[in-house]
Parts: sequence; structure tokens; C-alpha cells
Amino acid sequence: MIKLRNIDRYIDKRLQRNFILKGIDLDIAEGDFVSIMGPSGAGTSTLLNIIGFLDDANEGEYFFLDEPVHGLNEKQKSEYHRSYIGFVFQAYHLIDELTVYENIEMPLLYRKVKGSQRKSMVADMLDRFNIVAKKDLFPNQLSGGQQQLVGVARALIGSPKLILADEPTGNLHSDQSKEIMQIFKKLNQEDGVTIIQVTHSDEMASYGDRIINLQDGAVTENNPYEEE
Amino acid sequence: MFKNYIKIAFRNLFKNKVYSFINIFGLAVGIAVCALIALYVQNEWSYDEFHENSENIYRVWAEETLQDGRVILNTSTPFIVVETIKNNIPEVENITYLNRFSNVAGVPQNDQKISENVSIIHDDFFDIFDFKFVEGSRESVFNSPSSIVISESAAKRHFGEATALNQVLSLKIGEEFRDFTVDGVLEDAPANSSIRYELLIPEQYFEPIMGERSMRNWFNIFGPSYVTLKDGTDPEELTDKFADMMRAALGEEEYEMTKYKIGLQPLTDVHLNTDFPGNGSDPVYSYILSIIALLVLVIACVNFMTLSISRSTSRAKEVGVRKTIGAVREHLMYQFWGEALLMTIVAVILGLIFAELLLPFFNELSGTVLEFSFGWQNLAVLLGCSVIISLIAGIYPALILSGFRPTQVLKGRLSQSSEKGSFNKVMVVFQFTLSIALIIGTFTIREQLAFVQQKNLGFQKEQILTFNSGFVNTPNAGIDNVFASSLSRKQILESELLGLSGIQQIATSSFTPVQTRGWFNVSFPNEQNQAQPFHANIVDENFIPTLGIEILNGRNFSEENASDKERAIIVNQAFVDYFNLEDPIGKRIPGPNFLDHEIIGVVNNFHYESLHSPIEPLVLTQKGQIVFSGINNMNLRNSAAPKYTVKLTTDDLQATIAGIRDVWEDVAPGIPFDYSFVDEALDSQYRQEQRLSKIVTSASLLTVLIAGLGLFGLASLMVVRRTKEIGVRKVLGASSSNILLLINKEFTLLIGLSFLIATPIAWFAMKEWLKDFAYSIELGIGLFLLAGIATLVLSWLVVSFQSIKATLINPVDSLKSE
Ligand SMILES: Nc1ncnc2c1ncn2[C@@H]1O[C@H](COP(=O)(O)OP(=O)(O)O)[C@@H](O)[C@H]1O
Ligand SMILES: [Mg+2]
Repeated sequence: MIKLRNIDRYIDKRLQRNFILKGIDLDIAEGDFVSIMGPSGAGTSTLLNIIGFLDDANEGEYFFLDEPVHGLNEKQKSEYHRSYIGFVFQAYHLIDELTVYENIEMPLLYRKVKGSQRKSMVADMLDRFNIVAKKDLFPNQLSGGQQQLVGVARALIGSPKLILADEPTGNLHSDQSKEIMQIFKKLNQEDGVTIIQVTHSDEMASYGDRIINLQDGAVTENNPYEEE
Repeated sequence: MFKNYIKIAFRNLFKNKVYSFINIFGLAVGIAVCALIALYVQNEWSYDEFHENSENIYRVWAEETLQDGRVILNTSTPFIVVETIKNNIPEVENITYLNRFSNVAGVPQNDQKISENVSIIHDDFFDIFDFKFVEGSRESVFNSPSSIVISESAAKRHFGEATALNQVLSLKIGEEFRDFTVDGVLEDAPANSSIRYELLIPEQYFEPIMGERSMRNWFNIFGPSYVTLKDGTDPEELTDKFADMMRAALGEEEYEMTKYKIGLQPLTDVHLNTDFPGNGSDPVYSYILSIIALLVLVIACVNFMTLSISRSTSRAKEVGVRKTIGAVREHLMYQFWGEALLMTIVAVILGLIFAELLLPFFNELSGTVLEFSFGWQNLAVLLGCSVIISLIAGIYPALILSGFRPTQVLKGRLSQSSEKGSFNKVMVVFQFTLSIALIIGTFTIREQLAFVQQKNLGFQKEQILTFNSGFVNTPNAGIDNVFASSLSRKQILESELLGLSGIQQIATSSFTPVQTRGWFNVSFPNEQNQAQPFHANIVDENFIPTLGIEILNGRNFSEENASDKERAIIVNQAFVDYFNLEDPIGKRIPGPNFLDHEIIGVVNNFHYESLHSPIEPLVLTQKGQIVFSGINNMNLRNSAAPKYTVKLTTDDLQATIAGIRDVWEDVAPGIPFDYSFVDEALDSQYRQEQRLSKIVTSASLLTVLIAGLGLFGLASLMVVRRTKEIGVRKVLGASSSNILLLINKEFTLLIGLSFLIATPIAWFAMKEWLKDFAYSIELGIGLFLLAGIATLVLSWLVVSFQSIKATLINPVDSLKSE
């Protein structure tokens, strides 16, 4: 599904070139649950953004579903964002002016889903995450864990094939974190959704099938656990 | 999706009340100003277009070349032009004269007549113009010689609510009163009519009122003439025919000498074309007003832009999220522009309410009587305007906001990129440049007007009353004879009035200082045949002391000296200077044909014209013939009918005036006592400037208000944005005054820059404006500094209100929020 070849991402300063990512080769198959780990500043977010078309590599090749990503235009990329890729963020990134219900509903609006269908889809999602009672509250009226549940619900409502989660549990305590991970696990196993998450926690990483270690912009260890 | 946008828009509107208020209120004020000024300008530009036939109505102009080569263009025409055109130009369908002069009128049984303007017209008047009949009809009027048509308000004045039709009205024709029968009442001319009328009487009264000679004379002009042309006639084609007509009418010799030309000016052109003399208005005022309206609106739009951009950080996250979900840039552009549109629509509605509320004030300011009328087409225009304003105000912020990249904004803080920062700075400088320039304009105009009002005019203007003697110059009585009659009446008045307390002196003169558009404006040719201009006034021996005019040399006219009445003149210092007279006493006016006379005194250069004009040579005489005998040209812009000037020394004006009125009604029964105070009348000559002053003052208040609001908003957003920075600084030991300075410094620099840009612009504009005055203030640096400092202080107040909030920030709170 995802094929990265010799990916470089760098920033040119006046005299030197600062590499954020250097020579990344990576293959991720459909149905994988991958955890990317690395110290702060290693370039994990950058890698995830490149995978999610939010950022572009400076060098190297990236094939998504065997299609070269550099050949996609903005419209096609946003088409993928609407129906194929869901994002979950460490800081939740809910829209403050919208209620829980409206935040979850929003992706459907860009997909031009009809009103009645939209209603039932959002209702399903609220049900699934046990937040029906909270549907008319605004994000700042929720706890961090509840906000992240809404964030996940928003990512899932489009039935994406790929979920990209950047430190989804970074701001949560362990009970909440476990809840999110179990949701991911279930999605991966029952619905075959591909999941790529960034995490600093070994415990959270272990929910995945595979761990990629990143250090100073380069993959140092691929699947450290598998070899044990 | 649309509902979602609207929801977000409304929630944002209410969530940021200060921001929304500033945007909506500022825009609403801008829109109100635009609506009012659009109304005014529309009225100005639609003058005389209400006549069904307006495209085909023309005003006749006449042009003659004087001996000294000066070309005089007039829109007043000789009476004979009507008959001549009728007989010679078949393309002319209808033609009328319109000679408006003041008269007295009343119902015959009432002795007390009132002053009225009467117009002599031809019957065609009613075919040319579309003034509607309220009573009577086109067919019923002007069928008999005693016919009179009056305006609706004149009907009210004389007959109250009763029907005016067939009532009798008495007018003074020549020396006696004659009765007329009302056979038609016309609606009052609308506000945008250049033609005004009160009482209309047929052409045959021209002769008894103006004299037989005036009827045939091509060089005596009294009023305009209007024509309509037959279908398909181009007025340009008539040029040759008019030339032939004039050649025949004047004879070859006189035609060659005067180069007398006749031509036609479209009626719809009359009001705003300043190339022709007359009472139109200068289109420059329309332009100035339109520019001011647009500036106020643009400044309000600028607030919208700068505030939206400053606030962009708080919307950035939303943009990022929406993009990761699959929104493309257009979606976000529409969304943000839609929010601008929503705010604009609210502002337009509010603005129209403001405009309606401010209309009476505006009418007073502009001297108009305008009204709003709302129709469906206006609604379409309003919606169109909303879209345009929201595009101007909203498109740049929409571009900026929709351009955010999710990787930048979702990472956390969005640093204000320097490009956006400088856009806001440019906009703030733009707003304050305008504000400061307008403040300088306000200060200058006000100072000049105060100067004009306080300037010593060289005579006493307080407690001086003037009114008409009731004698008018007619073609058959010489000016000196009419003046003599007024002198006899003055003697009767004097004998009764000087007994009353509070009345000091009474003078008689052809012109009073209230008539600031020039007195007898005459000239004689010197040996080189160059025109030597001067002004003249016929006065009695009381004139100089009554007005407190200073005698620099020689003496005043004296009753003891019998020959003064026959051969004495007094000149002003400007006269002495202009004609280079050493030892002026005993000298003559340096022209060959003047009757025997000599200068007996020289008075100071008192201002007998407005301060727009420099003081010109002046001759005061008791016998007009001395002056008239030697001149070859005379230009009259004011009535020379004798007037009385009374000097009062009283605290009880009411009682004194009532006393004079009583005496007057005995001495001159039937003649209205319409008095005016010299100081008040003099003030009114600067009405146009006072109007401009009010407009510029209001405009600068509005721009300062809107720009100040914008600054307030910017400062508040800046404080919010820098909360963390301020918290850190305080932890590191910054004092409150350090913080205050930090925030204020940025804005102070911008306002300083605005001042540097505004100063030369305002300097040039005001220099230009002051050129209209022969006597004006000097543009001092003080005035400019005052404007700059006032703006700076104001902006400090506004910004400090916010930065004091910043100094109160508790670092613990502000750092926790991360
Ligand atoms: N747009 C950028 N400009 C400059 N430096 C950047 C930019 N984006 C990321 N970096 C730097 O690249 C490194 C990796 O960033 P990131 O991928 O966000 O790290 P992390 O692994 O903690 O998520 C960091 O040192 C960061 O400072
Ligand atoms: Mg990161």
C-alpha cells in the first residue's frame, strides 16, 4: 500500500542543509498496524505527514497504492483525504465553534453525504463511542480523553482504509490511552484498517504488529520486537 | 455544508463580540455615510431631469466682447432676445423669458403687504416645463392680462388653507398697486430644480416695471430665457443662424464691435457647469463628498482586513483540520468570504438605519431637504453593494486563511509571518495617514473661518441694522433722484427715531457692507485704452461715522459745506495707492470725462467685499452722476436701491427693533420692514466654507473613530497573541511599564510614519484651499504638530487600554495554558 524509497526531507538554511529525514525506505502493506517510535525531534511527525500527503518529500519516491504521489494534484489528494485517510492528532484538533455532533459530521459534508444518511452515520458513531449524551457539548466542555474519542470518531466516520495517528495518546493518561488503543486494535483486526501511529510509549507501541524506530531522520531499527 | 458555514459564522460572530462589534459598527458607519452622500450626489446630478422634455430644453446664453477685449459671458439675457429668436429661428418651438425680481404683494383689502419674488414669463413657460398644476390647468392660465399663477407655498402664505383659485392678489406695478386674479397654482419646484418661482405674471408687465428702453436694449440683461427645439434639431446647427440674427438685430458696425454671440446650453447641464455664471453648485463638492464617503468606507473595510488577519491564528487550526479532512482551498475561500458577506449584510442593514437617523442632521449640514425612498431596485443595489464590500473586505483575509498549510498550523503555534505583519502595518499607516490629514484639514479650515470671523474689517459690524428704504431704481427715474427721495424719508425717520433710546445714528447708502459681492463695479479707459476699475457707492454724510470707518486724511462730507453734495468724493487708501496719488486731497479721479469733483478725504481700507477678494479702489460720493459721467462700463451684482443703516446702542434689541418697526409703519405704510444685522449677514457669506468645515470635521471624526476602533481591535488581538510572551517576560522580571512600552512602541512608530506621510499631503491641499481667500492664516507648523500629537495621544489611550490588560496578565495562568 505504501512504498517509500530513499525519501529525503530537508530544510535549506543559508549555508547548510538540515535533514529532517534522510534516505527513508519503508514498505507498509494493507492491513498493517505500524508503530513509529523515536525521540522527540527525530522526524516522526514529518514522516507521518509525508505519508498522509500533508507534506512533500524533497527527494525520493513515494508510491501510494502503486501510484506515484508526486503525480497527484491537490484535488486528488483531497479526494483521498475525504474517503481514504483519517487523521488523529495528539492535540485532538477539534473545531472549537462546533459541537461534538457537528465535529463528527463535518467530513461527511465535504463528501456531500445526504442529510438523512449523515444523521444515521453520526448517530452510529456516537453510539459506538458511548458519547451520545455529549453530542451537543462543545470541545472545551469535554475531558482530554473524551475529546480524543471525538477525534477518533471524526477520523472514522469516513470509513477510511488508512488511519494516521500522531501521538494520539500523548496527552492522555493510561486508562484513556488504553481505550483508544483497543479501538485501533479492533479496527485493524475486524475491519482490516491499516493503522500507522507515532508514539513514545513502548506499551502503546506494542499494540501494533510492527515497530519502526527512527533516529535523526533515519530508520535505525525495523521491527525490533519481531526479532526477539 | 452551507448550514455548517452559517453556524460557524454566527458562533464566531457572538464568540468574539469586540471584534464583531468593531467590524460591523465600523462598516455600518461607512455604509451610512455612503448612503447619505449617494443620496446627495444623486440629487445634485439629477437636477432638472424631472421635466419630461428635459433633454430638449435649453437655456440661452449671451456673450459680448468689451472694448478692452474682455469677454463677458452671461446667462441672463436681454428681454428682446425672446421676440427676436421667435421671429428668426423657426427651429425653436417654445421660448420664455424668466425675469425674477423682488416685489411686494398681498390681498387688496390688507394694507400690510409682504415681500415676494415675482417672475415675468411668457405663456410658453407652461409648455416648456413640467411643473404640475395643483389648482387650475394649462388651458385655464394666462388667458387675461390680469392673470397670475402662484406656487403652492405662496398660496399658503396669502390665502392659508383656502382655495387660491380666482382669489385676487395685489402687486406693485411701477408706482401703483394692481390687482391680479389667481388662475393657477403650481406645485413648489422640487429640490432638484434650478428654476424657482413664487408669483408668475405675463410678459406685458415687463414694460411698466422695467421701462420701455429695457425692452429693446440688447445690453441690458435681466433674466434667463429658455427654449425648446423642434424634434431632431441639433443646437450646434443653429450657431450660424444665431450669428445672422444678431448681425441683423444690431447692425453691422455694432455687431463687429461687440462680437455679440447667442447660444444654447442644455438645461440639464445648468446646475453643475461652473463655466457659465449663475447659481449652480460646483461639482467639486460632489466629488469631495464622494471621495470622503469612499474613504470612510475603505477605512472600515481596512479594519475588517487587518482584524481578520490578526485573528487568523485562531482560525488557522480550523483550516488545518478541514484540509486534512478533505477540504480544498476553494471551500475555505467560500467559507471565509461567506462570513465576510454575513457581517456585511448585518452592517448594511445597521448602516441604513444609521443613515435614516442621521438624515436630518445631514440635511442641515448640506443645506438640502433630501429623503430616502426604498424600492425593490434599491434592495438589489444594496445586495450588490454588500457583495462588493464583502469582496473588498473579505477576499484578502480569505486568501491568507485558506492558504495555511496543515503541517504548519497543526503543529501548534502559528508564527505571524512577516509578510502578513507588514500588510497590517501598511494598512494601519494608510488609515492613520488619512485620519491625520483630515484632522489637519479640520484644524486649518476652522482656524481660517475663525480668522475670517474675528478679522477687523475696518468698520463696526456689531449692533448695526440695515433695511431697504422702499425706493427702487427704475429706468425713468435717475439713480440720484431715487437716492434723494430716500434721503427725505430718512429725515422723517430720523426725527422720530432719534428720540427713541438705543438708536444712535442713521445713514443712507446705495450699498451696505452686507452686500459683499461688490458695489457699483465700474471702469473707465485710460489713455492706453486699458480699463481702470474701481468700486463706488452713493452715501450720505452719516455713512462713515455710522459704520465707524476711519478717516486717514482730510475730512468727511459735511452739511455745512453745501458744495460737498455737488462735487466732493472720498476715496479709500487702495484708491490712492492704485492711482499713485501724492497729496490726494483736492485731486480728481484720473479720467477725462468725470464731472467736476475733488477728493476731500481718504478712508482706511475697510473690507466692503468678502475676504475672498483683495480690497480694490473705492469712491464714496453723495452724487452718483460724478462717477457715472466718466465711466464706460458698469457691472452690478447687487441691488443699488437705497438702504438705511442704523447704529444701535442698546441692550434690549427686541424693544428697540419693535420701536423702529412702529415708526417705520407710520413713515412708510405698506412697505415691509425686512431688516438684517450686519454681523450675522456677514457670517453667512462664508456659508459654503462653513459647510465644508462641518463636512470635513464630521469626516475626520468618523475616520478617527473607525481607525481608533480598528487600532483597539488590533491591540487587543496582539495582547491575546502575545499573552505567553508577556507572561515569560514578567517571570524574567519585566515591570508593568516595560510591558506597556513594549506594546505601545509598535503602534507609536506606525503613527509617527503616518504623520510624516500625511503632513505634505495636507499641506498642499490646504495651501490650495487657502488660495480662495485674499486674506488667510499662515499654515504654521504648530497646527500640524497639534494634529499629530492629538492622534498620538488618542492612539495611546486606545492601545493602553489593551496593554494595561496585558500588564495585569498573571504569568502562571498564561504559561499554564500551553
Ligand atoms: N518546517 C520546518 N522548518 C524547520 N525545521 C523543521 C520543520 N519541520 C520540522 N522541523 C524540524 O525537524 C525535526 C523533526 O520534526 P518533527 O518531525 O516534528 O519531530 P518529531 O519526531 O518530534 O515529531 C525537528 O528538529 C524540527 O525542529
Ligand atoms: Mg511530533
